[in-house]
Amino acid sequence: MFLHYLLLFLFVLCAVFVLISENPVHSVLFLILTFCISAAILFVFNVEFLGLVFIIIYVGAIAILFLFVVMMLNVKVNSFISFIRLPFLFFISFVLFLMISYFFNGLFFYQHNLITFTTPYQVFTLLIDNLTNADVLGQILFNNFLSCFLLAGLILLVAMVGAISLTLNYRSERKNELVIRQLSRSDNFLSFFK
Amino acid sequence: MILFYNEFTKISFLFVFSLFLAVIILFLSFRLSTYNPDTEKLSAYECGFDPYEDARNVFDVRFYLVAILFIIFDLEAVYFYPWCISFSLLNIDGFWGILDFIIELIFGFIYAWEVGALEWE
Repeated sequence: MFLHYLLLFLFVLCAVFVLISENPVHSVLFLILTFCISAAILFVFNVEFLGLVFIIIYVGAIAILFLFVVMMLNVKVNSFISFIRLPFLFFISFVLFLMISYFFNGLFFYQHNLITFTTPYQVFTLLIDNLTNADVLGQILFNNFLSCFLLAGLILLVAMVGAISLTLNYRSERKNELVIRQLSRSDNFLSFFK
Repeated sequence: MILFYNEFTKISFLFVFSLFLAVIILFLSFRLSTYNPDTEKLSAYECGFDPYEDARNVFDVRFYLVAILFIIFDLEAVYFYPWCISFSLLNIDGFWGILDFIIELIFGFIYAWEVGALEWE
């Protein structure tokens, strides 16, 4: 009961700081912190594979893309949120906090022994059920939904080809360094040609 | 589930402990050291002239391409993790499915290599 309320409070606080921080790089850093806290919330509610995916994909890769966008667009520092609208913002975030916490309470009402630190023997379903989330996902995905998995592979291939063909400008002759020449270069390399 | 909670409770205790330790160290280093700010000290050190431009500037789109390729390979690595965990419980279709997945990954990698997306001029 206690731990996930604390995490949700931190989550909403970091999301507010993403909006009100003036430097865009700082708001990207707060966004990374928000992703980490959401991964921790998923860990608390026993959805550990999604938590790992959040950390790997969002923190590891998407946040880098956000940093690149901030760098590329060259946004000048100006605050979007005026301080008149700030109480409204806090009100909205508080309402969202209440809604999310109510939703989680209804959905995961029986999985609270990490959160309350009670003895685990009160909840006998947790004693029987010893499959983790990633186990279940692997068995179902690769036994029952194999065609979806193959389709995901094709989609990733198409995404790779599309990203390359969109950004790369083809040129017939590129000025590349020959690797073997570069590796075999020594101090008297220039005197070799003289 | 019980195993999950038992293991992750220790890790969460470690997290909370490290959080408190970091806060204590930061607070003590902020309070105990002498703090005497100055406009000369706080200004950015740069030789010669005042900085007239932002440190960020627009750069090439190919950095972005490298990041996107990294995301795609990262997503493909995410698919391997549940396969590795539940490998002993799968039938033969799961094995051939992941082999097809790896071959598609290799095709994409060969394409990126041949086109020269990973090279730098």
